[in-house]
Amino acid sequence: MSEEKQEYNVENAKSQMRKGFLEFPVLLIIGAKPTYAPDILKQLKNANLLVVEGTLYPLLSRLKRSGLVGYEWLESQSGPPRKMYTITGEGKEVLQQLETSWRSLDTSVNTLINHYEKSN
Amino acid sequence: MKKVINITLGSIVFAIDEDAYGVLASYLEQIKSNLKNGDDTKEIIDDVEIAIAEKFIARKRSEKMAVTSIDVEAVISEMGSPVEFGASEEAESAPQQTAAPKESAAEPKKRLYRDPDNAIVAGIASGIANYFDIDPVIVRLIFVISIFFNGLGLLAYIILWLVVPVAQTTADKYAMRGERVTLRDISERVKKNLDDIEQFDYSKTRGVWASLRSFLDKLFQILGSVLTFIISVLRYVVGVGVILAGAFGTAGLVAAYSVILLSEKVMFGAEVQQVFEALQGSALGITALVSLFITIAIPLIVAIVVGVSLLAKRNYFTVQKTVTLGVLWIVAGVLATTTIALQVEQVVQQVGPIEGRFDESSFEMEWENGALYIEDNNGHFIYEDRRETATGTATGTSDVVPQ
Repeated sequence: MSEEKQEYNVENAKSQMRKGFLEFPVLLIIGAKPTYAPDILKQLKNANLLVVEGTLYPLLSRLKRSGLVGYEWLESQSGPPRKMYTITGEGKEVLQQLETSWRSLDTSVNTLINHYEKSN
Repeated sequence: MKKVINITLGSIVFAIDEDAYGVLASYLEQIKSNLKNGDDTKEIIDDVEIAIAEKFIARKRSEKMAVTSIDVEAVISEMGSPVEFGASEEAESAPQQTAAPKESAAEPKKRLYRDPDNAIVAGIASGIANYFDIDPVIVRLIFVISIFFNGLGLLAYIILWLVVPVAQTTADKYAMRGERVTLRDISERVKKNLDDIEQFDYSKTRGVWASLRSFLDKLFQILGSVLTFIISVLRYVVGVGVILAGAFGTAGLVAAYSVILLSEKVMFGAEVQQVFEALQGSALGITALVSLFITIAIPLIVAIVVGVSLLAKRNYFTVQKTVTLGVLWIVAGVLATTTIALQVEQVVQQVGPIEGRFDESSFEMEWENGALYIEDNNGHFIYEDRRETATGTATGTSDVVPQ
């Protein structure tokens, strides 16, 4: 059986890695204090976490739909009305779980990384 | 100089030039088509529009400046490609999928159009060249050379001019080249649309040839629509005709078969009757009857479907159906001819040679007990008819007596 070799796309894998867990940092940002979408973007950019801006809007809408975050419209002086995102009770619970899961994941991955680096 | 369109993004009014509007509109359309979860699409688009509005405001140098395509492209590059919007949705459901999202793999359908962009006369040669993916020069050469063969090429050219539509819209032109129209292509087109139209316009080229060409093009367009009309009338006439032929044929076939199968109750000549009985009496005969039925019925059914296809302007023949019918027809046809050949042999053996069995002096008829008996001169019994008729005369006799 001939199997076509599929080229491993590093860029894609990196972007998938970040996208896949982007919800967690977004929840962290909103959980810290109510935030506007542009400010969420700014913080993600500062943390070097954002792939492109476009990915944020579907993500926020998904979090809203799952009831993890809510928003209220606030008028702005200089531009269009903005959505101020706030975390919900449910969102806080999920954030707790994600945090626990992240810490254990972080430990496991770090152990593996250390192991790998020692062997080289 | 550009036209300016007023739009609202996040309830803020923007003046945006035509080109920039085309790019922005197609960008939002592409995002929409990349988002798959129905209800949230509107909300996401609203969020995106608000974000774009804020970026436009940030970029605005003065109140009077319109948004240009430079602004739009800068904003789009900040926002990311439309694919990104959909990709995160997919990442949720299928994180293992690392392959870049592809456009639908289905081959776009190529259509034959006249190509006005590369026309020398009416764009037929370049249209054909597009269709077969060859150099139009080759097609033109073939046309020119074939003109010397009794003007065949000229006639073909004129007919094609009449029948083949000109590729007018961007979508037509993409279909002509067999390319898929994506919104990105259209947005690219929008950017250079005006120049293209001017460049392609027949009337812009000068000279006698150009005006003759545009006159001929109009003339042929009129002739073409007349021809199209005649063809559509013909389509209806032929369609109805073929359906009727098929329907009557089927009715006739069914009638013929009911006569054969119920032949005892129907008045028939002795020979025919005997043949029928012999046919129904053996497995071979029944095979012959059934396969003959199928052999005749399939073309009739095909005729009806062809008629319906003509009327509905839709091809109802799938490859599968066509192959199935074709195979069935060939099998039935072969079966029918072989069984009938064998059957004729058998029937002839049973009934005896039909020719020369009767002549004026070779048989006697007599009535006895209300039945008609026919014997040949050797006293061999031929026919008995016990049917009672109102007049007491067996009308079957006329069938029996050969003239």
